[in-house]
Amino acid sequence: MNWRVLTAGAVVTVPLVALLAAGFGRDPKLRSNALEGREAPEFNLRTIDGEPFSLADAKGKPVVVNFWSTWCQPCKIEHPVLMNAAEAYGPAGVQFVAVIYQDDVSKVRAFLNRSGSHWPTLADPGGRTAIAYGVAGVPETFFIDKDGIILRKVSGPVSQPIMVTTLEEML
Amino acid sequence: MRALLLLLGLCLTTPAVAAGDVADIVEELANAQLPDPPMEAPPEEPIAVERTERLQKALRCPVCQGLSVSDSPAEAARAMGDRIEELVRQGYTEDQITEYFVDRYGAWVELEPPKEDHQALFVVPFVALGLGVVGLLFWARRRERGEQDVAPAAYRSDPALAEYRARILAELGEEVP
Repeated sequence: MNWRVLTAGAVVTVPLVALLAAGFGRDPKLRSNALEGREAPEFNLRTIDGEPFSLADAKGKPVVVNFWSTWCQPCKIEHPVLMNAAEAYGPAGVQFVAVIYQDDVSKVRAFLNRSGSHWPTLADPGGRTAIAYGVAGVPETFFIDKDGIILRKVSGPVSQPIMVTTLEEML
Repeated sequence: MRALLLLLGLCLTTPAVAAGDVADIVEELANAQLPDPPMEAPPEEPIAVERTERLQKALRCPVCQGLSVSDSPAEAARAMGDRIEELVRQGYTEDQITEYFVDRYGAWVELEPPKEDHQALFVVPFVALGLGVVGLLFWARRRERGEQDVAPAAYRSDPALAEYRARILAELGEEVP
């Protein structure tokens, strides 16, 4: 075996393979949870009925902020989970709030009339709040603790176990 | 002008908001979540346009596959583009605006990743090239030396080959050393 050729080959290929392995090791499509552990961006919005709602008003209680839309099927799948959680944990002091993501208020109102809701649903003109929260698709749910810090961000529909575990952690 | 149009749009699309609430909306827009205060005065029109375009090309549409904000027709990209323009016009620098989006979406939101995070990617090709050139020089030198020295010492002194050497040299008409 020619050790010199082997060594030269290894010198060239090993760093390249290591570099590629490092690159393949992370998913470029993985969305960031950059806001976890940081203060939740403040927002002052209005509900679809015109009532003002500010995140600051909910300070001191755990808050669940859910970005959703009626054109999003996973949001519809998630809806019963939110309904159950709001029924069970609302009386315990958890504030649930939904923010509409790129949707018509009339469609949202029709869906909520059919499916119900136990939380204020906020219009987000210009998608400012969605951008402030780094929303890159719906549903996305932010669990904000009593001190206003984002404890957890869930991209995609929140399952019942994750919902319960996170809420128990926040209370 | 944009704020007026936005206000008009809000009034038309949100019937629940009474005219008396316009002042509240103006206040809301002014107090909307902004990053740190702008580091510069609001830029002149051509500079604002240029900065906005540059940022919209550099930042990724959050709901698309590899498209910049400026290249995407998605509503999310339009909202993000508007937000970029708004921040530029308020005097936020390009670094501040990029940081604002990176803070929310992660480094992924930059179409071209910052060089300092990927130094190896920029260094390795040059190192490989250097090693290749050095290797090539060594190979060329060895080859040149090999051509000059057709009969290495081992060949000349090997007694088992002496007979063959003598025959070759005889055929070539050369004297056996």
